[in-house]
Amino acid sequence: MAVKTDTDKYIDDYYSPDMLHGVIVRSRIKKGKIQSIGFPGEISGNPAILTSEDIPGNKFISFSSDSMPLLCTGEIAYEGEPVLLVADKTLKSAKEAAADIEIVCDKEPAFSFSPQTSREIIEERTTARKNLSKGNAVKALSASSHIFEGRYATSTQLPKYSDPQGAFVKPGKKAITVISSSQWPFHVRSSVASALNIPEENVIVKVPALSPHLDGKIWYPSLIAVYTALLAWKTQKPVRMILPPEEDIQYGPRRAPVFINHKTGIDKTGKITGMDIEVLIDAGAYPVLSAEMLYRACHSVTGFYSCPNISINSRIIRTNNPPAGPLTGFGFNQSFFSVEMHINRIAELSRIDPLTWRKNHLGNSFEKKISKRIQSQIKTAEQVLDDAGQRSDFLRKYSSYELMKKRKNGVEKLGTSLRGIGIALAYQISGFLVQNESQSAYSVTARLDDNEKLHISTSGIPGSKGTRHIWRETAGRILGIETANIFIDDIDTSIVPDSGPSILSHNISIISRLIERSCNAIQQQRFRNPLPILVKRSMKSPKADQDGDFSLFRSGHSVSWGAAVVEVEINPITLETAIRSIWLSVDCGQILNNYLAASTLEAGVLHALEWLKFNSYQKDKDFRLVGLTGLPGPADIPEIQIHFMESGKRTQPSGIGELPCSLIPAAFSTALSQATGYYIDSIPVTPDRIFGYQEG
Amino acid sequence: MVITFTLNGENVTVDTPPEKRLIDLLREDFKLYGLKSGCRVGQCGACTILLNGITALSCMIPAFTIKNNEIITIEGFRKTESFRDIQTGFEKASCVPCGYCISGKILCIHALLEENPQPNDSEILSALTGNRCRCDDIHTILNGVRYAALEREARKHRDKT
Repeated sequence: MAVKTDTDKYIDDYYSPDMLHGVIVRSRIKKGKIQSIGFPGEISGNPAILTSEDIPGNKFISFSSDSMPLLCTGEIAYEGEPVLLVADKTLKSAKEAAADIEIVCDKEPAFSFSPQTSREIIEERTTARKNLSKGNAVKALSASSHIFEGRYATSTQLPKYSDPQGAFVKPGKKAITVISSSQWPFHVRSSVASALNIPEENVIVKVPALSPHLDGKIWYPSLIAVYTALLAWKTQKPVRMILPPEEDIQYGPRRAPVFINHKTGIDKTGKITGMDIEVLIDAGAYPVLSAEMLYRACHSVTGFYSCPNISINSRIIRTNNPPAGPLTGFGFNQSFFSVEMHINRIAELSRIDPLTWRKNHLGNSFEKKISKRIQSQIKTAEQVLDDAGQRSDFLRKYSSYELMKKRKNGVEKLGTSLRGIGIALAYQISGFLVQNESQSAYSVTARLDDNEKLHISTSGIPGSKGTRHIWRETAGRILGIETANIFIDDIDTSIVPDSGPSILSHNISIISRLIERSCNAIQQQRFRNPLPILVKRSMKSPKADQDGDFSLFRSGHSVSWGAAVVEVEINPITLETAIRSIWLSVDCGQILNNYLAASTLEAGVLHALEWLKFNSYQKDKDFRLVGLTGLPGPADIPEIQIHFMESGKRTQPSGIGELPCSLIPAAFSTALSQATGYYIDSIPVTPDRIFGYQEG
Repeated sequence: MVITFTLNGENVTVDTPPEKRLIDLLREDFKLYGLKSGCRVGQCGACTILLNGITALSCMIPAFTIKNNEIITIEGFRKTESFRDIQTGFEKASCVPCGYCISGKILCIHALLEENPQPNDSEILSALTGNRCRCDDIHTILNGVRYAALEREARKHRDKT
């Protein structure tokens, strides 16, 4: 892999001498009705202005079963909602023209969700729900000898990718060309075609270089691409729209905050008798891919623990915050934080160390019988727990820090640093969107040309620098070709097949497998048929399940397992927290490249730490960004010890990128709880929040 | 406002409005796309340049203030032996940051090695603290810098002899 310095072309590097610059005019209030849009003074320059009425096609953009208006038509639902689009010759003149536009509104009270919100309002604001149940949780809880209750909250998270959100659109005679920094180019194509009311074939989407996108470019790029395409259609000129950092941070894609209430019953022997769980997702003004988030949050919120009676009620709540959607994990991360924190709490109150407690209760809550598959999963979970526990010397440290906690009784009496250690268990289910109504197939083509060079064609967007390297290595190993003779086509929707959205580690769990199958097929034909040989292979997502059908663990989805131990040290005066070390044990089936797999986990740990620590930005009176708080830098990265387990049975590769965000927050917060003696139940965990716990 | 300055070894003159940032001048007027416009509040390091040999964030500098100063961007730095030291070091460590942050990282590493030819890990981390990108793990970058330091030392030794 060569070091490149200026050869990759990112979205903000696209330029055309005759291009216009597009900007978005946004609402400055959270909720209200637009009374008038006007120009109180003389408008600067000669800009193109586009309103909702000018849109020739569909005025809404869809993300699976959710949709939102492209431009606000009267009812403002959140601060920053796009109202108008402006394009002009220079960015400065476009911004000046946008500033000349006055939107007069009748302001109305905005709604923000909090744990204190009444049940009536929650009911009124619910836009989607999913319930799962098994047995009779209410009865089981009432018959339990102990009931443990816990309320957990996870905040929003901004995906801190480096390159901006943006699009560059060039209108042509036959087709419109869209350069979009998207993880889902075929969604960009259908959205642009729908808004312009033209056939999808007349929209060509190409993808520029992307820095690690951290799942922040799933849906928002489609919105920006449509805006840019509308301005290009109106002006018949190339248009570039780059979302400024201040708009990106305030109104761009973000992880939805989630509030989860757990009620768990335990009998006299210590077995779990019932779980009653409520999941409330604040999806902002317009939910995005909410059915998938609900599904995944429900299916992970019990953790991997055996329980005969379950009742899970989950809801999407509409608020007047900017749209919040999926980020890494699609709801898994928030659920695992809550259940792993809750389990640690139960273990502590039961006076059993959390490692042993977990091992005693492993099992799949959703399955009625303990099949061979479940037994194998229990064994894998046990192995990763044991491995992380042994390598971190968990049991000894846990006992020692428990003793310290009891003796010192909180941070206020201390002069020396405090220590704690926490453990968490999680799994990752990779690959398909389960709620993919269209059941569309994901495809890859491979062509071995006359010169024995291989050309791979896919719309999969690499999430890191190593993904394409892995694809080349996989193909090269099967066909015995040097990786220098394996080429991956640039992404262009008029050439490459639809390989689905690049989410949920699908580059490893699906694209790699499709490349493997394509190359195996070429290898079978290679010495019988003349070159070139072209092969296309596809995989279809499993059918969406119905309520009550717990099929997420079943065929079609690949599963990875992980356990993490985090050891922390706290300065009792400043409450600054330092991570002494992180131990990660992972079983993910076949590992395609050890170095890149470890690198993916380390990047994931940093992403998790960002969620734990980064919680604010500062803006001035003109809504300009003036600073970011708590963003971890290179010096904040702790020692991370990664160990891949070799179960030897599973040969398929599985994704691992989501595991750190499912594991680290719970392990870290539990360690912090042990060190401080305060029960941490929400993230981010900042010194001021610990101070808040201290004050009660 | 007409200003003259040295850009990648050449004297250039340009007319710039007083409110224009140096990053925009370099990218828009000189088409130097090697430096990137990340956060624009001085926290990501993607826009790093060498200003009179010292690293500076071009998003935080008004363009007119660089009058009569010397600017080197990654495009100019690529032509130097010093760049090749870092390139070789990174390749030896299999360290391949993304194209968005790499120019900033390379210039910061160069400045560090000029001042401190044998930096320890904490000095490397401190030098890179302003470069925030999620594209590579820090241990690989540390290895890359260690290799780069060895390359530079070896080259300087070769040059002397």
